[in-house]
Amino acid sequence: MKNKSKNGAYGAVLLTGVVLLRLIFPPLPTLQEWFAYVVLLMGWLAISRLEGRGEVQTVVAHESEEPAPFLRAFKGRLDHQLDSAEEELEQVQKLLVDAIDKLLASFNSLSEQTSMQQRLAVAAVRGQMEGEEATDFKSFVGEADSLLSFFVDNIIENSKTAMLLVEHLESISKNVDSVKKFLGEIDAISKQTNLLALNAAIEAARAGETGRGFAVVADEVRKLSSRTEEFNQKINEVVSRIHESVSVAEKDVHTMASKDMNYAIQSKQSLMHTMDDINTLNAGLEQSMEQLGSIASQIERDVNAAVTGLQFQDMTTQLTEHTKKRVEAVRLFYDRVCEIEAASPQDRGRMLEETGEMLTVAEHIGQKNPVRQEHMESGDIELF
Amino acid sequence: MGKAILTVDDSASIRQMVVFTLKGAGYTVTEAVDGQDGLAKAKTGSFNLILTDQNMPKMDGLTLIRSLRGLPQYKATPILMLTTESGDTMKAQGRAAGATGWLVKPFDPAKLLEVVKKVIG
Repeated sequence: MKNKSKNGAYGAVLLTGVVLLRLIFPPLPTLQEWFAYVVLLMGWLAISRLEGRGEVQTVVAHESEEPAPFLRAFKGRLDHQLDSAEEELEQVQKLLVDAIDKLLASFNSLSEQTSMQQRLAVAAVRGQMEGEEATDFKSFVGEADSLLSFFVDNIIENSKTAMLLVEHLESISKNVDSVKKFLGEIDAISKQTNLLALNAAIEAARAGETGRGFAVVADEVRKLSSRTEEFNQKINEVVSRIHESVSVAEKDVHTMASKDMNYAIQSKQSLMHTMDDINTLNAGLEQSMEQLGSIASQIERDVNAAVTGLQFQDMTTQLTEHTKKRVEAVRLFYDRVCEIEAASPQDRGRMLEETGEMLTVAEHIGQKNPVRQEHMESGDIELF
Repeated sequence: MGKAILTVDDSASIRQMVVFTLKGAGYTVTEAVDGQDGLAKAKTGSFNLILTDQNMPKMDGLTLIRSLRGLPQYKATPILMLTTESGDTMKAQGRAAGATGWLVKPFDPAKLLEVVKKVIG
């Protein structure tokens, strides 16, 4: 009966321990509370085993004058558990720091590489090197288009002028033919004059001395006719050369005009096709640029979201620090319970009162959890 | 040379994230590991803005703000709290100490940059 009442007292102490622990941790059971429960359970099991082996009687018989120190007997094992909990919490912190450092470096690099990739893509599309003045591809195409159009229009204009030249040369050629006809007329007149001079000379010879002066005039007329014929022949030769040259020029200009015109028209059509292609390509590039910009913005948003999310390490570190304080509180509480166990009955009342105060302080620390967040959405911003 | 910002936080990862966010926007960022370090660096350097955490070893954020406000060169310098603390009481203490604004962690880099630009341009 005496043993049973002793066991009942131990049970009451353990139960008080559970209640007091629950007071420290009012919300859902925490890690520390589970530790405490485990320790208490181990205590109960140990007592049962000792009772089963009859060792309790020995202990009780030995402590018939003072309480059995079974709480102190488990202190080493509890301390070991608490030390392990603290070590594991520190390990969690170290792992988090290491992982976050690597992740952050990786996101930094990703962000920088993406920015560089976009800059290079933009430079490639705009045909510029980094650091050089930007050249707008669209304006370049526009300038090239107007310049080439100017050249083509000029060539077409030249071709039209050449055709006019052909017409003018044809006209010159006709005029030269007319001149040649006139020269033929002059030649006929010259021959007829020569014949007339010859007849006049014959008639002068017949007249004898009286026709002498007339013979001189007839001779001069014949000489004039010869000179006219000679001069007419020279003009005819020059006009013939002019006619040949004009014919050659007419032929060449005609060839040039028709060739240039075809070439220019074909060039203009080809140019228009090329410009259409370039415009299509440019539109595609602009679309790609827009997509690149949109992708870069999305990557930036994703990296920002990742950076926001990665801040969980700071929060979990603060939470584990806070949990370590709670573990320390459990350790202190258990030490205190051991001291109460070892204390004389008259001191126990005062010590229990002090323990209550100690628990109030522990509760206060428990309420000072610096992390209230329950999600990783970005926090509020307030400017004073 | 961009405007100078001092970031004070005992968490290396948070400091790195602040640097990552602000350096990319052209600011020059100096790091301090706690309030005491922050105060020492503020005294030896010149900063246009100070971002500080609240819960740090050696010296907390509120004490740092009070100390900085006692220095003539930091009487009007914007000081933003960047902390997990979100309670109204704590915010009121921050305001009384001389904080310019209160940002609750986790921070969105884009929003942080927006606030910094609003405060110092």
